[in-house]
Amino acid sequence: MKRRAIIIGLMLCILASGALIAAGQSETPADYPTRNVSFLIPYNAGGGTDSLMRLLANAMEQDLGKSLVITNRAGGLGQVGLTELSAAKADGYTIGALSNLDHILVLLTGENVAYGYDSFEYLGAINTTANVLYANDANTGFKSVDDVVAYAKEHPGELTVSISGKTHIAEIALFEKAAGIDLTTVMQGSGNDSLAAVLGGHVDMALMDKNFVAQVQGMGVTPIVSFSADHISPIEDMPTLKDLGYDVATETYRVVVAPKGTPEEICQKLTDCMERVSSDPAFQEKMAGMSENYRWLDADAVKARLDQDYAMVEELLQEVPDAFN
Amino acid sequence: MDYIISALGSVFSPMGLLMNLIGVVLGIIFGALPGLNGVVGVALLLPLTYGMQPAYGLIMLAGLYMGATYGGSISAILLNCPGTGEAACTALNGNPMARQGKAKDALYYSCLASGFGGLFGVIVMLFFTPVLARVALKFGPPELFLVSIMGLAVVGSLMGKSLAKGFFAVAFGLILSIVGMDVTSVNYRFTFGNVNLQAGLDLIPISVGFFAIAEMLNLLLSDSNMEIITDKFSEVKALAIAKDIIVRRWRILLKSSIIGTIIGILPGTGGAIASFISYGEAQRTSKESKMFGQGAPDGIVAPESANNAAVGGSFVPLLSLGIPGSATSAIIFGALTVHGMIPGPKLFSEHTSTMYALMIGLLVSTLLMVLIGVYGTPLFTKILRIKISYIIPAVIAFSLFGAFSARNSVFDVLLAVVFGLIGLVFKRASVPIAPVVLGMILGSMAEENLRQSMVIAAAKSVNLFSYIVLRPISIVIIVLIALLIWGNFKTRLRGDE
Repeated sequence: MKRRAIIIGLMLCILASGALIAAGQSETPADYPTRNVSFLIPYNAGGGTDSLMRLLANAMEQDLGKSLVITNRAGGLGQVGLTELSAAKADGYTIGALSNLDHILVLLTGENVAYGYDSFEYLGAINTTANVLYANDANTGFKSVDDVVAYAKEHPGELTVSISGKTHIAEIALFEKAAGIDLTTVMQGSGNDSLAAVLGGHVDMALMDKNFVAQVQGMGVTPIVSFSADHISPIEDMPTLKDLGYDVATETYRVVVAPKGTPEEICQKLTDCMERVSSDPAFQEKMAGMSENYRWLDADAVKARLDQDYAMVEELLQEVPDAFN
Repeated sequence: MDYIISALGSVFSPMGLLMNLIGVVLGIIFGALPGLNGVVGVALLLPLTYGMQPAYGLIMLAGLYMGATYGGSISAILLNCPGTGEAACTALNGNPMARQGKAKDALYYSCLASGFGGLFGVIVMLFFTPVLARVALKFGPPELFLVSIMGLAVVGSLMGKSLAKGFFAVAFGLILSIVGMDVTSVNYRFTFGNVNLQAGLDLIPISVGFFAIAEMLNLLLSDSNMEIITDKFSEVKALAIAKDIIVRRWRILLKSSIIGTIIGILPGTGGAIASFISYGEAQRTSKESKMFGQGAPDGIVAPESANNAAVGGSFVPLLSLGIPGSATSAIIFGALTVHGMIPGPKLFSEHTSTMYALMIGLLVSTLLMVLIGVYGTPLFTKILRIKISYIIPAVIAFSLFGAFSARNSVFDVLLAVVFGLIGLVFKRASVPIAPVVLGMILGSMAEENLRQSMVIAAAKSVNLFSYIVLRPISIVIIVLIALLIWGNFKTRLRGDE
């Protein structure tokens, strides 16, 4: 009885390993994907990156004919998840996503970062968004950037700005540098906490996503200026810092990435798939429904854009070395 | 009116009721299993709702949230393994009751109190959302700092006999809350170069370790050769318990529901803080205060009604301002935006019928939860008849699975095991465990708000003390803190006699 069980067990092992070997051998990039792809999101479920990437993954799996299995591995501005992704097998069956400024800040200011800028193949990006500076009316009465700068010049350090996340430190530091002013940043746990603080008048201003523009209407908070270079929906009419002569242009976009060394053919396949599914008007409508702005950047364009952001933060750190301390 | 009719249509349609039932049942299961909770459940089901009609998806998620908040009390009472942080207080009195043969009483108290609290919170949300959201905004960093201090003051009610051990436990929890990225300066603290620690210690693996694994190890190593947890069962009817709650405990029930709703409304809090604070307040005023920790029904009614009341409360700022009141409602925020509904002032006017469906759906969820709880109680208590030798491996397996699933992290499984062993040491040294969780939950809230207050006070060149204290709401909270501490002091003095 026992011997029979052992024999059956051994046979099963042989069968299983045989199947694995067969699966390994029959793989060529042209067949990709022959099985499900693991999609690693280095942020929490339900957040901005997560929601957008789930939408994209859903469309991509219909196009590729295999499932994209999403795993959330949040922590440390994406460092926890990206550490795992950078160490994954570069066979196209583990891919992931990242957010541009978070990624660059980890690379330039993180501690014990086990990967580098070149540890990933940057496959493409489908969105862009902007941060907006909001002011509490009762506290400040600010209507324009000039009001902010004029007051801040006379009262250095007195204006408080709610921010959430390390990327906002960089953005405010860039603005302070460009305008020659000094603001006091008040770090909050999330954009929603920032919103509560500025709506309640506990801080004078807040740096938050453009999507809060609709939310603050009629609540005693005025959107002042956009930090992005482009005039994107729904704030096409809002002046940008660049328009007003301040040399600041930041934006957030989510990039799909694969570990370095993933076969070029597979990378190209994934980039093409992203472009195909995201150019569908129905898909863009869904993005608009989530208040996400569609903008396609292919592998080369996204790398160029990232290089630009990387240089910007690097320069900031050279001029203001303690910007993050 | 049309909106309400169409909302009723979606809530009471077969699909609406089914989604609600699925949500509530899954919620109770998620809540009851150590390591899984409402946050995990809602996050797991979230992608499923993307393809659904918004009303159905929201009803299911909200039902899951409601069910999970109650479900935690089942394992807390029967096995002394609170499935969620919200149920940590319930275990303190629920499990002693179960061991005295009053498991059914305890479960009925928990279920009925949860139901009342749940309904209370939702009804407040239904009628007073706009007003209360405005009030919630008045709570800035100074007020929220004081609220967290009030929460920490509850430690006096949790510490049992030894003052020193109680303070040690809460300090241990506070230290655990420091690990990881410091939100204010975005620098890492106590990570020892380990990437896994950068995200901080998650509450789930720690509480699973402390509550479930430690309790199971403790059972395993206990000297008595008992085969099952208890064979004593008294028969009691749900109606009798309901009558007892209404006649003898209505003050505690109402007060805890109010506390729960208010705490739920405040951004950055949640059901766990609500249940801790109402537990402390209940002990201060209850006639059974001396029995707290040894099986006082008031000690179940208070936290259970409060944590379910916080569910409705946490929707108040979410729906009217777009600011989630708790971690679970933050994920439901994501569900709204995926369907193109932007939480905020315009949400009600633009999606009136969906919003009413959500709120009426939550009332139905609460009723379903009570029905399942009441009719399920005889079934749940059967767990006590299962041999311990089966229960221990099952609970440990679920705990490790739960620890993993919160962040898909093997490191968290390791953490659960390590903290299980630490918890065992705590239990053997009779160091109370609930204060550890209290410290962990409130530590970061207290620190963040204090440091924000410091930054703002410095920018405005005002004295930190007067910035925090000289505000109307602050003064009220300080009085409440004083009452809580005085209450504990009195109980302790009486206990010494």
